[in-house]
Amino acid sequence: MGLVLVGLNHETAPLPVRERVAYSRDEAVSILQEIKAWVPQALLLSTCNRTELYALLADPSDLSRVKERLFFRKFQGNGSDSYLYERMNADVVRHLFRVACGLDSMVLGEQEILGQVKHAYEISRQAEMVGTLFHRLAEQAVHVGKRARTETEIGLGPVSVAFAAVELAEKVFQRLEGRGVLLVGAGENGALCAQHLLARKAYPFLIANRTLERAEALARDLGGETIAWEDLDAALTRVDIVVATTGAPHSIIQPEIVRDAMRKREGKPLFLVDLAVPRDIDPEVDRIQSVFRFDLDALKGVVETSVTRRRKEVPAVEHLVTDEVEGFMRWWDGLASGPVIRDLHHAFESVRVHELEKNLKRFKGDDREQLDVFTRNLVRKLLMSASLELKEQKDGDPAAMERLAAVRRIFRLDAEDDQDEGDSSL
Amino acid sequence: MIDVGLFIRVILLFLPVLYGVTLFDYILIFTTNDARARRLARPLLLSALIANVVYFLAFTFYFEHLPFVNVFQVLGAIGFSIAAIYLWVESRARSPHTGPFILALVLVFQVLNTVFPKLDREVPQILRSTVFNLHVSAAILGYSSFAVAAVYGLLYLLQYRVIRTKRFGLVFQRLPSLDILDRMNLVAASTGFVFLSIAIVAGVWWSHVVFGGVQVDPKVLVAVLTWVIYGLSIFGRQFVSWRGPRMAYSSLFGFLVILFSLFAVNFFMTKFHVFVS
Repeated sequence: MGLVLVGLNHETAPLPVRERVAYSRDEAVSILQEIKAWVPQALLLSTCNRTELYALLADPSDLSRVKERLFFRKFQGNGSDSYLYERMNADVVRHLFRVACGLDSMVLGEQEILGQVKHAYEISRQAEMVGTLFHRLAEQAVHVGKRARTETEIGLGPVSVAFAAVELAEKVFQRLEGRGVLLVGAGENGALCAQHLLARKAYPFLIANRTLERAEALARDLGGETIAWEDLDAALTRVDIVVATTGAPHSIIQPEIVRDAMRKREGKPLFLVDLAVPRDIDPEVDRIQSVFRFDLDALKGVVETSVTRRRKEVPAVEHLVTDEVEGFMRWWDGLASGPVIRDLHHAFESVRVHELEKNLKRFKGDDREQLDVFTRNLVRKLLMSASLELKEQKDGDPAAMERLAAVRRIFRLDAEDDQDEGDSSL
Repeated sequence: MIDVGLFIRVILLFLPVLYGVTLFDYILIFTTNDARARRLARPLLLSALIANVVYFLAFTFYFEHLPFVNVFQVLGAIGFSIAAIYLWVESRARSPHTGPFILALVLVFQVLNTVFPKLDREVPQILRSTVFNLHVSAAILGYSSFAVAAVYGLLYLLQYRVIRTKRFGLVFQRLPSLDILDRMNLVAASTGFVFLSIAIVAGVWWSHVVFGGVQVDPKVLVAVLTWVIYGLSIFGRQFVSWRGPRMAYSSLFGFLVILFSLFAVNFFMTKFHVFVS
């Protein structure tokens, strides 16, 4: 029996191949149930950038059947073994932990993967393919992923131009809830940026476009209000954020308009995002107090800074992953019959010694020695049948592993810090 | 038997060390965001504050008066009060990144208090009154709040400049948003304004009791000027566009006036406000 990973990701397989093996929730549940005969426990992680099966295989020779069901059947002649990678045992744990930390993602340190690992765990539970090992594996993966993002800066800073604009706006206004947004032009980039702002409950949302029909279409899609092109100047007093993205050959928002608006705004900050080339907002507005203007170059600068910073954090996250993999492997090794018997005897022995010391004053000289021999024999005899039964458990048998894990739980054989390590938010 | 006098001297020497170590830890957090430094920060600050409280208590019992008599003792008390206010602010804001700026001020004040100690029982009888203690305590709390407001004002201007000049380095990442800094400035300045008002009223009352009328000296005039500056900027914000950079500048200006009142006026101009030769 062994822990195996087989899968592909954005680095090993092109999008057309990844599309074929992307599993929806229902498909994932049904394929897991299909392979249950060979795989007692498994986790199927399927996102737009990866499809990976983490599996506990009773017989390693079954791996080819699993690959056939999960991948080759779906490739339909358009894929080959070269797209797939495989890992075994500790390397599987390391891989999942790295994935959870966002180290293996297309966008380094991205947050969504943690939710996707939780989702994969839910699917496995639904398919009844989660045992002690996989519960702990998924739990630890989420725990490591959270640690990476709280103890390092791997997940900090925006990694797209649209997010950069949102982060900058939050550095000015803190909360965007209730902040008005004016979208000037109906370009795709502007709409994407506006979507991010609306997701943070920015309100009201006004759209101005030379062609009213396009503005109205966008207003229907995103849920905003259109205004006439001529009312643009007046709108600057109604909103706090302006996103400009027209195809105009000259600037539309001039310093005089902004200066006039700032007078009416009584000094309240105005945040201007210019996504257009050539630029829609005259850079001269930078001279006006409490006006914050950012064009594409400035936003790209923010993105580059945060990407560089995330890269610098990789060694620290790798170090964290190594620590956690070692901890996990120690816990897993403890699930064999030998360590369970040893720890069980230690636990009983420590209770015996504790009770003996507590009551020693009540006995004298020879009695103390006899008491020691008597209690030692008592503990040995009490544990004899349990030890024999535990010895019978075949290491590597998934059912035996569950029984051994149950013994560890019942007698609390794991150190307190080990028990607390997992993340209960799964 | 413990020599309390010696104990007070030792603890007074230790206070800048404790605040210095705490400041170093906060600088480490600001520059590296180190997890261990983050865990250590609050316990370090708390132990410095506890040591400071122990110093106040030991001093008051041993020398039979509060350690608020000369300007350096007042600065030490302001430093303590700023650190305590900061601990509260940090627990609310859950961000330690303004710590280095606030605690640097605390350390400066504490060093001055340690370098120029006044450890004796000599206090003019007229200062041993409840109203006078209320006057001094309110003034200390007011000045501490204004100091915090000034630091947040300074940080506002720093972040404002960084964002406007598009230099997205460490300061941009670590400092809170302009909105938060502006509000912190306003809350601290308003709190300071309330305490300064109490200090002025208590001062006038005490002056009536002791001297039979209001004594006007440069320090009183400067205190009233400070009160007017902060009053105008706080109320100006409600009615006209006195926010953002303007509010930040007025907090800084107000605090400079306070420092002037504490040092220049105390040392060179006043007669009435110096009670200890």
